Amino acid sequence: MYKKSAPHIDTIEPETQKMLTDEASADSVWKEETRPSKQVHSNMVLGHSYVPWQVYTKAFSPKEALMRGTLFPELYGVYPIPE
Amino acid sequence: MNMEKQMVLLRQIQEMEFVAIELQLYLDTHPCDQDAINDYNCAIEKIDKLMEEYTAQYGSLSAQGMHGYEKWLWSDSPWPWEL
Repeated sequence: MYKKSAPHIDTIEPETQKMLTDEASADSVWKEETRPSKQVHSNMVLGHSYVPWQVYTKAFSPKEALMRGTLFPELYGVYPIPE
Repeated sequence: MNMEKQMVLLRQIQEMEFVAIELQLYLDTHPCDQDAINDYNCAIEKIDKLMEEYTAQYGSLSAQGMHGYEKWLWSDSPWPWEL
């Protein structure tokens, strides 16, 4: 007779088991209460990512470009160099 | 050997090579930017000229180059950190 069992579950530590259970219940909360409803938010659009189009109008001198690591002034210093 | 003059020339080559790489990357996404194409072509021309000048005075810039007919000169040329 087929015995419904999940042998691998036995190897899970009780702590992990608890975590999984908590996660599952958190998930059901998300599903039931937090999840945005299709009806309410139907006028909203999904997030879009974009990058502004680069236009080549100015450039560092060759010497400066090599020192700064970029030829393009608009790309220099966008991210501060960590100390 | 005038190391300082050699160093200046080598640095100019490195700077122009960096400019060419930057413009090459820009042109990969902006293939019709006429200003960038012109500047790229100028940079390449400049690199060719500088390399010719360097090679004539100080020998080949790469190991796969001409290193003399009677004596092997490549191993006599200065290492980058000796410049």
